Amino acid sequence: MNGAVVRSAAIALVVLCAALPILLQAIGERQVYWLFVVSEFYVFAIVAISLDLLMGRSGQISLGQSGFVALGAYTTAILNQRFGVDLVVGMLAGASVAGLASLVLGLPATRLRGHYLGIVTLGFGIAVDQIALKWDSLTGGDQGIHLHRPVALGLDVGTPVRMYYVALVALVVAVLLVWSLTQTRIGRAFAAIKDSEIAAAAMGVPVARTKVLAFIVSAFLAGAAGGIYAFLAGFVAPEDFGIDSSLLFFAMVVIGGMGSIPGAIGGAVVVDAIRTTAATVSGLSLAILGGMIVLVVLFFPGGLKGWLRARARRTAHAHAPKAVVTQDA
Amino acid sequence: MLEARNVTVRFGGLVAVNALDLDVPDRGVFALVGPNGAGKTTLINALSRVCPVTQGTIRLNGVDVLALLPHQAVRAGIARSFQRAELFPTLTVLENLLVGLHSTMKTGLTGALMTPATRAEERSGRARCERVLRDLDLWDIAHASPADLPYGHQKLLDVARALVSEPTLLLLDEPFAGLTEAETPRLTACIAAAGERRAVLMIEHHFELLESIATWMTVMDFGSKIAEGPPAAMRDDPEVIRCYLGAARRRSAAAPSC
Repeated sequence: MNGAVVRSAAIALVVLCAALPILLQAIGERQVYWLFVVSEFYVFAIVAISLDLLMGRSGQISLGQSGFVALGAYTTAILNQRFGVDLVVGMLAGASVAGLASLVLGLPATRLRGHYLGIVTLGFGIAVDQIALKWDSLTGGDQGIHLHRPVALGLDVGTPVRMYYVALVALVVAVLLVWSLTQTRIGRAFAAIKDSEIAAAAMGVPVARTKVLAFIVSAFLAGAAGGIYAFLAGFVAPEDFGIDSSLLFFAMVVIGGMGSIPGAIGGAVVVDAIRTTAATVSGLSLAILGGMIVLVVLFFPGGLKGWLRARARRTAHAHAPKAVVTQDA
Repeated sequence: MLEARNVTVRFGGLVAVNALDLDVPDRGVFALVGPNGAGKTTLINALSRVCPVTQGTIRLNGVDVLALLPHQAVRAGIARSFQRAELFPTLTVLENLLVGLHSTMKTGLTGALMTPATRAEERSGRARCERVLRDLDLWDIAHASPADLPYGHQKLLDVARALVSEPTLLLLDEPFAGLTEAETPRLTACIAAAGERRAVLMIEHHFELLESIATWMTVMDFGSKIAEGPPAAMRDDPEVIRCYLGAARRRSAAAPSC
């Protein structure tokens, strides 16, 4: 696809998102509710992007991404509750703790792959959740932790509209950072180890170190998302970070189509929409998503991204049967 | 120059390379030939540090090659292509070549910030890869995915990717296998040009081709060197005829692969 077209579309989308609070007010919809729903979606989209960087780009599976989100959220919440740190500092601290913790997974990841790595990360996600539940003195157990009113860089962001912009800015920054990374040396190394470890090594890519690096970056982003989530919800509790939410993030990446930022965001839209609409019946959204994962893997292995690309290719062929050059940048 | 002494590679009870000595001068195109299973690919793998060496020493301009980890070989000046063109299908053609510059480039995680230094390095890296692609007349497919390209193009790209880092020793594992008649001259010219500035060691079966570009060939059989010399002379060597040319004639119908 044409780079300039994609860029203009992305800018238009951001402008539209930025105008959402005004639009909601104009049509008199339940502004506070919708702003929270969409802000939460932005945070989830960051997690989806982080997981896509790990799974879609570097080819390493994580079934415990919510473990990193939880580490970020709890670190932020604890620092805010005890020392009153602000949103930016709390988020960076949460991201750093998650990044450090990812070494626990990243180091075995250099020796494990496929199902085995999946099992280790699944175990990690469950463990973090259980520790949060049982370590009362630090995490408040099932009572959770309430945060102070959020302040970012000296600015009070404690209203739904302001938190909405915090989440939107965070998502835009995350997209720009990850996109830039994929366009430069380290991002290419991630893709290289996914495609062929032996060729990557022959080109000078240190395979084990690069795998660990992918884990650290992914966990850092997920941790940052966790930090923002803590302030957005104003409260953290173990039930937000269970195995269910790891599976939601996994579903976002698989349904969106691996290895693409728009894919991850699209997957997050689909999954979050299902989660929000089916929230009234417990377990219903997971049942739907489980079914969707099966269908996607069986019939659309490229996910949303692959399906749209195949459609675009078909239309291009129908309109211009002679054009054969495919340019998938 | 490359000096390999008494190199032995053993896989369990199988001796793939047996006490082999090999000298490769600084410049020129050199060939490794021999029947299937002679240990040619294993030797290339040993030189590029993909496969462990049981015994022996390998030095490139005085540097102990065996002390290097697989990913350090490029920095030491050893680059290689693969028998089956191991490209990176999720990256574009241009990006595949850029991975070949991984050791040369420096940008780390700061790439996410697109600093001026990153941009400058990206620009010069891309310019360097563009030159290599243009030389091979492949620039028009720079933004395609290698998976969508014909096999012959993939083989060319595999060589191009190894070339971008401007190695002192270029190892090519059957670069011509799978190329069409039309693609062969392009690669021949590319290899000949590469050999003017560095040592190219390649595995190749095609004798006429070797006579046109290689100045020296080493013939292997059962992991050992059985003869070496200029290709024209090798053609008449009785040992070579017995184990290689004769065998090739007998199996001429079968596609060479090992």
